[in-house]
Amino acid sequence: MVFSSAVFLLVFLPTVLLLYYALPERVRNPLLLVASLLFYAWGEPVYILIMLFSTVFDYCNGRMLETLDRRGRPEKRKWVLLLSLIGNLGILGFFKYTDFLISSVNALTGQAFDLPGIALPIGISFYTFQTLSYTIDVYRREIPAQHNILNFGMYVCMFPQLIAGPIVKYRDVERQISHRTLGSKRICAGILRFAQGLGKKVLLANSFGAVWDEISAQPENAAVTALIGAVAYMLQIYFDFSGYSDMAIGIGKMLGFDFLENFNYPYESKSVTEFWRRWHISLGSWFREYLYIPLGGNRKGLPRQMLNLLIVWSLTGLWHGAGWNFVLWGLYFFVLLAAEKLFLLDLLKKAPAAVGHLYTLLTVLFSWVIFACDDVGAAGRYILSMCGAHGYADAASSYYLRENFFLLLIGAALSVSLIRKYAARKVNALRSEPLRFGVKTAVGAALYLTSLLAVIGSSYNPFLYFRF
Amino acid sequence: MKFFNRFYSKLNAAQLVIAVFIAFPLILLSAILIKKDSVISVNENRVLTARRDIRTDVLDGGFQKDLESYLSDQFPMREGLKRAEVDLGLTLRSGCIGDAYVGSGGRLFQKILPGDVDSAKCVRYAARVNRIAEETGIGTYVMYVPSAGVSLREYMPAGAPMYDDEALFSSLRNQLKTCRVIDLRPVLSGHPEYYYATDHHWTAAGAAAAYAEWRAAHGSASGAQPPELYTVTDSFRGTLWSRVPSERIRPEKMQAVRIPDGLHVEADGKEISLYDPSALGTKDKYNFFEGGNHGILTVENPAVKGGKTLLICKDSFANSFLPFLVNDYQKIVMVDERYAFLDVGQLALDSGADEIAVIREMISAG
Repeated sequence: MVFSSAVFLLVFLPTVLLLYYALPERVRNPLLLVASLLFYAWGEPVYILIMLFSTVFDYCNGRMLETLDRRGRPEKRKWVLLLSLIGNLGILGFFKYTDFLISSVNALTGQAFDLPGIALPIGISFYTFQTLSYTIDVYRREIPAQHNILNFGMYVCMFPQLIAGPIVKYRDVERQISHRTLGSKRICAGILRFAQGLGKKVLLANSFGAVWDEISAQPENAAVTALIGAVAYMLQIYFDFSGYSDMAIGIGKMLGFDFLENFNYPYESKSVTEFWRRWHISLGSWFREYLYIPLGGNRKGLPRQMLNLLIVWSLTGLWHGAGWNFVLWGLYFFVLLAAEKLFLLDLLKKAPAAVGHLYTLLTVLFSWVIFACDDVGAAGRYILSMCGAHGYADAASSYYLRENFFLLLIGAALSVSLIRKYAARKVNALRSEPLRFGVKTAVGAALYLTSLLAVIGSSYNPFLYFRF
Repeated sequence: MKFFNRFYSKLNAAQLVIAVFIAFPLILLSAILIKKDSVISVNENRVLTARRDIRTDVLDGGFQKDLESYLSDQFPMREGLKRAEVDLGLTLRSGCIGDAYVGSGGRLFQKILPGDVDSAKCVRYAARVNRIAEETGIGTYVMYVPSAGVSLREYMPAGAPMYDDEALFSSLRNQLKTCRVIDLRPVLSGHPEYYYATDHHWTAAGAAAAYAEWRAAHGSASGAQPPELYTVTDSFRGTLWSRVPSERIRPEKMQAVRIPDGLHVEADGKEISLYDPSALGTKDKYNFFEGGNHGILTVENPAVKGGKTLLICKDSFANSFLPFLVNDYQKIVMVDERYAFLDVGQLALDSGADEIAVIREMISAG
């Protein structure tokens, strides 16, 4: 089930909230678990078994780690961790990368091994990373194991962030799993955040997606047209993904959870390093904490640091999708980040801020083209178009610019914090609390209603992040 | 403001927002469930998903898909909301609504981008036509109809991209060495009256202009009296209007050429009439011509004694062109290869065709 669907908006969410608020606190976790399983099964009625297996598997691993400690046999714990890593990554690898591996072998060796055609279970990359973080944290003795399997199941399967993040670490919600407070103001804030995310997804991301789909489907484009297409995709992926995170955080608040922020206006970064501190924060912090730092981070000399970065960014690329374009995309960022660590960041700090902004926006823009084109050749051809291989501008360029000018302007304005901060300042400056509340509610209601009507009126609402 | 403040302090406003957020969608849901299901969307020309259509198979996702369609299709005032959205687009002077270009005076055009045209498939079809002409030795005429968007560029939103008709026509013509290619592009270009403003087809006037070219290609003297057209309805709104359903786009007239009495028309084994007035009472009024598309349709005109037989391979553009030909041939066999899978060359030989004609939109591959 996706958030921007009639079933979710008209049936699932209001029914779950109604039951959730009406029922006593002790049955809320089981209710959330059942609701989450239904939410997942709606789209993946068969693959739900994999998620349930992961849940039980890591629950047992957590308990086993704790038991080994209690019985004074800590030396065995590493084997449990290894089992968890092999199990989780094995499942992820099998379902996500088998076809990619075989087709790559075929391409390299000229063989024609049959592709098994394994469909990717929705959200597997997200929930696998969540369960892994749990087991690793229990192994590190940073958190106690969860004893109640229903509570653990609720954490793994929780529908707000289940299929497109943010990746919620167990330790960040550990206390809230067993006890959370529900205040009407907090729930209201969650509703407004949800409306904001829904608007980002339905009104903005889908509109930008249509522009990108149209332009990128053409065999040749003048540079200006190709640039408009790429900028549209850049805005689409931002509003799509950050919109989803907003909705997840908003629903989390409605249910009494505080999920960490996943985006912090990444397009106003002055370097790629900063960009990755602001974009998909939960993934970046996961890789840093569970891979980069355990590999030695920057503590073992420069060559080792570069190797660590290479490993992290190759895997970050692969995490986003089983395709060579994603590997290339990861390596592209490795090169940029390595260059920044070696010398570029120092140069950028000395240069005017505009240089840093421009450099970041351009490098990120090209990265999204690699990301968007499943075929590396197609990405290359599109980038050539952006560089003027088919002329710099033509009549179509002026058409696309005229038709999308205001949309792009609104997108660009809303993708940075300036207008939002200004609006927030103006609203907060209102002396009357009822008026402040009224303005915020009116904006939220308008966004929600318009988005709902757009969902009804359009069948064009695929979430980009489903394929991860 | 005082009232608002009193209201705010007396009632917990946050709780009210929560209550509305939960109740509002449930009220909408109840409205959908209570109201009688709408069966057909006339504008969209499709059957809406009704309660009885919802499949029960959960494991393969049928139930989930149908429930989603049901809620969207049966949403209260769905068509009204769509019209409001379209009207907003027209007010904002959007150049493209619902995948249709909105040109000057609200004229609608089908958006056909270079990437939408399967040129290779079109070329393969042209090569096949040429092969049939070579193998059967039957004189073959090919008449490609350019889309409205390429004929009426000056009426489109400035710079709106369309497929490259020049390049496509040239590559098709290269394949058709044995055939006589009738180039309609100069004839139809720049004449808005030759295309409907709310539909992708040509008008009877456009078909008449093409017929004059057809006659010229057959060696008929120019200056002959053009065929007489008459208006069959003035409330025509075509398929493009269904994408941009706004009352601000006026209905237009649909014309047809007068046809002689005594024609014997048979479509897929059933006797029909060349014009179907019952279609004028429906949304799809273009079906007035032969009642729509058929796999094989034959027209015999007993008034033409000892005349020729013509085999037409066509798409829907030929439907309104066919009536112009009925006085010139004793028998016309019209085949639509999208509905009839057969060997056209063999059909030409079996039906004793003296001529073959291909009449279709340029981008239609066959």
